[in-house]
Parts: sequence; C-alpha cells; structure tokens
Amino acid sequence: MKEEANMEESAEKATEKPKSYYFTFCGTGGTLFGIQIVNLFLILVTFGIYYFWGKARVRKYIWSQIDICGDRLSYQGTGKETFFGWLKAMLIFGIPFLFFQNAPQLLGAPFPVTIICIIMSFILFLIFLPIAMIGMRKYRLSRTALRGIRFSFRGRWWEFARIFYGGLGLMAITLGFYRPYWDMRINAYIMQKTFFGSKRFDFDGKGSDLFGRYVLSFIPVVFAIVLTFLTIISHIATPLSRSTMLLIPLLMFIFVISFFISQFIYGYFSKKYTWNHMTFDTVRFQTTITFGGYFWLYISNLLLLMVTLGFGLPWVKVRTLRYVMDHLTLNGHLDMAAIVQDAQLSTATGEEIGGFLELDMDLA
Amino acid sequence: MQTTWPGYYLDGKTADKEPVRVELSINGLKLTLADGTAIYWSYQEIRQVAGFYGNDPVRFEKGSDIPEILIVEDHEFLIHLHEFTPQKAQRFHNPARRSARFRLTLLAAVAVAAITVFVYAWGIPFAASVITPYVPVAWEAGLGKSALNVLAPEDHRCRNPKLTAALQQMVLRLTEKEKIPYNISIYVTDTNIVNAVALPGGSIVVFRGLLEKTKSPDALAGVLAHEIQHITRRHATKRIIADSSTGLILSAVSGDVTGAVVYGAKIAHNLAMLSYSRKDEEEADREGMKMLLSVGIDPGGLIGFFESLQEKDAKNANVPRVLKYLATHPDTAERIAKMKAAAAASPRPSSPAFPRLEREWDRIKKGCKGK
Repeated sequence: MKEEANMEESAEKATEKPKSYYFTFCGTGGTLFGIQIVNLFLILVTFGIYYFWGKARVRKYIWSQIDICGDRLSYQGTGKETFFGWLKAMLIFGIPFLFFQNAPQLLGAPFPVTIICIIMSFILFLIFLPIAMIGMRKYRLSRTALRGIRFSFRGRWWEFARIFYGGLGLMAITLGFYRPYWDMRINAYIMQKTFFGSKRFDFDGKGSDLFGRYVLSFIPVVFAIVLTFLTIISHIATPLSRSTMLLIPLLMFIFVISFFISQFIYGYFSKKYTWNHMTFDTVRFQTTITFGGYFWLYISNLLLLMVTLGFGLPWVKVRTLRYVMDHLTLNGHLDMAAIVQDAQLSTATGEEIGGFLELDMDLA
Repeated sequence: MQTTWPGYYLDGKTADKEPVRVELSINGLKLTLADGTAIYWSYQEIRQVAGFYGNDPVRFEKGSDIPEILIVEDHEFLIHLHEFTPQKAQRFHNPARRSARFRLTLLAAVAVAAITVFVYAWGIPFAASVITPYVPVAWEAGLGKSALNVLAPEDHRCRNPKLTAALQQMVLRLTEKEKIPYNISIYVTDTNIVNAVALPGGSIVVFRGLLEKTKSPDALAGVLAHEIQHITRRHATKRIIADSSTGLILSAVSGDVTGAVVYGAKIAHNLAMLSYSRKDEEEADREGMKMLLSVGIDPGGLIGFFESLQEKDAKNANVPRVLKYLATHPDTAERIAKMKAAAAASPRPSSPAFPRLEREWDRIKKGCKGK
C-alpha cells in the first residue's frame, strides 16, 4: 500500500509543472554603509578588537537580505568565534609565516638564511592555502541557515589540495589551457561536498564545454600581441626616438588592459556556466545574467568606486548582489519538508587563516 | 492594540515552515500551530536575530546551538510588542528609535574622521617617539643592512682608497668628542644623484652626485655631521615605526593582518624615499652644526654647499625635483639663515680641519666616477 502511495506521489510530481523559486537581494547600500561606519568607529576605539564582531555584523546583514522565495538566509557566526579562530590562526600560521618572511630583513641575516626563510614561508603558504580555502567554506556554510536548516561543507583539505595543486601543475604544463578543466573540477568538488541539511548540491559542468569560450576570451590578448609585434616590426629599422620610447609603456598598458578584459570575459562565461550547471536535490539553478548587464555592472561599479574614492564600496557590494540574485532562479520541484537538519561542526581557524591570506568567498 | 499576529514556526529539525498564530502576553509569546498545539516562549529565553532594518521580517530564536525559530513578517509586530510590554520588550529592537540610530551613525562618522586626524597628526608621532628608544641597536643595524644592499649594491660601491681614507678621517674627527653607540660607516655609491641617506644602525650612503658637488672636505663633513645626527637621534627608526603604525591601524580597520608588518619591512627597502619631519630635519641641522663647531670644522663649507645647491635649484626652477637633497630637505633659505646665525654665534676655527684633504679635494671627490 505504502509503495503504491509513493508511486502515486511520484507520478503526481512528474506531471506537475516545474516551479521556479526566485532569489532577491533586499539590502540597501545606505544601511550597509551605516553598519560599516559604526563598525569602523568601534574598531578604532577598541584598537582593532571589534573587527571580528563588525565582520559578523556585516555578514548577518548581508545574509539576512538574501530572500529565497520568501525565506531569508541567516548567518549565525559570532565575533567571539572568529576572534578565537584568529588567535589560533596566528599561533599556528601567522607568527611562523611572518617570522620567516620578515625576520631575515629585520635581523640582517646572511643571504643563505634569508633564502631558507623565504622557502620556508613559501612551503607554509602552500600547505595552509588549501586548509584556508576549505576552512573558510566549512565555517561560513556551517553558520549559514535557511529556514533554520544549516548548510555544511564536508570536503577535506587534502582532497582539495590534490585537485588544486594537480590542476596548477597541469596549468603550467599546458601553458594555462587547462584552466577551464581545472575550474570545473574545483567547482564539482566544492558542490558535491556542499550540503543543505541532509541533502547535497551537485555540479554537472565539464571543462570541455567551456574550453572554446576560454580560448575566445583571449582574443583581446592576441590582438595586443599582434599590435606589439607589428609595432616592433615597423620600428626595428629606425633608431630609438622619444616617440618610440613612449610607445613601450603604451603597449604595456594595452597588454595589461587586454589581459584584464580577457579575464573578465572568461569570468562571465565561467560564472554563468557554473550557476547553470549547479543542482540541489531535484532542482536546478539557472541564471539569466547577460554579458552586457554584467559588463555594465562592473564598469559602473568601477566608476562608482573611483568617484567616491572607495567610499561607495557598500553600494558596489549591494549592486552586485542585487544583480546576481535578481537573475537567479531554482527550477524544479523542491520538497522542503523532506530536508532535515544535519549540521556539522566547524571552527573559525581556517576562516581566519583565509583572512590572513586575503582570501574571500563571495556570495555573488 | 493588536495582540495576535500571523507568523511561521520552524522547529530546527526540518525545513518545514508551519503557519502559527502569535499571541502577546505579559511574560512571553504564545504560539499556536495549525493543529492547535500551543508553545510558550518566555521573553527571557528569546533573542532577536533579524528585523533591525527597513521592513525586514522579525525573526526570534530560542535555544542555543540549533534554535527554534519564529518569523513574523509584519514589521508592526515589534512596535506593538513594545507598547504591550515596554519593560520586557527592552531586549528587542524598537523601530520607534530608528531616528536615534541614524543620528548615532552620523556621530560615529564624525568621530571616525576626528579620530583619524588625531591619530595621524599626534598619536602616531607620539607613539613612535616613545617606542623608538627601546628598539635594540642590533635591530636597527639589521634594518640598515637590508636597506644598504638596495641603496648601495656591492657592485656600485666606490672603493677608491684615498676616498675611503678621507671619509674615515672625517668620521673620526666628527665623533672624537661624542661617544655614540653606533659604528658609523660611509658608503659612496656611483650614482649621479645629489643626495645622502642615513640608515638606521650607523650606515650613511653618499651618492656620487653629492660628493662631486662639494667644494671642500669641510662641506662633506658638514653633510656627514647632519646625517650622523639622524642616526644617533634614530630619526629613520622613528619614521619606520610611525609608518608601520599607520599600516597597523589601516590593517586593523581592514582586517589585513599581514599588511602592517609587510609594510613596515618594506620601508627598510624604501629608505631612500623616506623623508623626515621638519622637526627632525631642524634637530639634525642644529645638532650637526654643534658637532661641527665642537670638533673645530668650519661650517662655512657646509653653508657654501647649501648655497650652491639653492642657486642650482633656482636655475632649474622649471625642472621638478632635480636635486633630491633639496627635495627631501625643504626650506633651504631658512636653513641657510639658521646655520649662518649658529656659525656667527661661535668662534670660527683658526685653521683648516683637513689641510691635506683640502689641497687634494678636487681629485679625491672625483675618485668615485667609474670606480
């Protein structure tokens, strides 16, 4: 009887039209700016200690403004957790890393000792980078909840390190052409280890799908290389003049700009592809971001930052989140009642090592 | 006053959101689920986690690790709760006080600006002057050594024996009456810049451009006396601490922990770019003059050197910052006037300090070119 009922339910679900679950970002730049100003004041008067509590306050606000089909995300991390995480991170990583980086200079150590210390700091960095990347994700997701159900990340840093450094090696061998495969392998690992309650996210993207677009994104760089080559050819027979000398920085500038444009183009393709190949349980993510919209967002954000001398950063964050969330939907049938709590423990040490290495994990 | 509100209850075990009727009472909230089950939450055990801004839904939690949750989407709920039980509702956000929050935010912005100005203008220089005397000489020497390799790389150093001997003679003469805890070493580097840099720990880098501009050994001794004062009074160390402190504050604000230390360490490599405060320059001038006069070196050479630099600078007024020594040592006319006043107040030495060097100076000072 029960089996029959289940089969009926499944048949019902199969005939139901797929539903769309919408994302919205409800926050405002003004409110975020206000929070950050008060944080700044409290950080100054507490000689920096409040930084951790301030960070938690900003996250609580941003998370709470993300609306997923009528439900808001919530962030349950605290300043106390990250403060103690930071102390631990300083002890196991920060102090040894800073010692190896700066002690030879400060103490005027001989050259071989300086080299050994630089190598040691590099080894520490290589070991702690995957720990931090995984630790940050573990901590933040373990403190993020929707409808009271916690997210979690169940990856292991050594598994991630294998993918990360293996990919880095292949990147070097293939002169960077492995990049889309590397990115998608990382995405797949991260998604397949991410849970909402008892249910897992998944990712079905492939590097080969993105490879063509990755190569296309390098058209501006190829253009810059051709331009440089033609300039060299046309000036090779003439003696160096003042105008020729001025061309060198101009070409370098064009080269750098073209590289950034390439990265931007690939970033757009990669982001869109990643969102569109993410699934959760029986629902699939879909983004409708467009190249024009994404380009305008970045250009206008850049202008906003320049005009406001950086003070417009809260508005930049809000505009970015609003754009990404407004274009994101979940499609399919999602049975929220079937999702049960399965929270995982995590300390903030990895989170703070990540902070030390200036890593970030964007929501958008 | 409305005392019942629609809301949602989440038990923290599943993602199922149950509609609930929330009833205000004196000691807590009564939640009635759709099936008639009643749950009672006393105000003491509830904490508010959302509903502080705009029209955000109000979110209450009960329990520590994985809490039970109550969501009331109507923002008016909080206002009515405060009216219903003002005392017990004190632990929750009061939307009626939002204008006060706005004023406090403005006040915080003004305070941030004021603190920034105060710390930058007074706090940091004061802290640097308090800390500097406690920095071990060995640390200063280490910093100086790192900077020395950048400013005067081994293969750029002039090793002309006559020049080296002349410089040693000048240092011995300058320090004969004053016991200083540093081993003063002069390095001349084959770079056509009119500048000299005092490094923490006792090293002085003299660029060939400056050496060749001096008309007498007394002029160079004057420059060295000035630079020795920067070393003994630890001006560079003080500046490094001040700059690192600025970095430290910026790091604390931005959370970039590595920033300050790295910034501080990089300063050691950028000592050539380091400019002293006006107060430090005046002190080095004043004490340098005293040092010259106390060991019987005629300050006229130094004054003449400055006058020639000033003249050259005036001629090149349209060329920005050609003379680095003047760029980092501003107000030359005022300085010359002060030096002249100090020189006039003391008896001039009756005989030249370096008679043998005086005769050969034109040859010695060119001993660096091409090494």
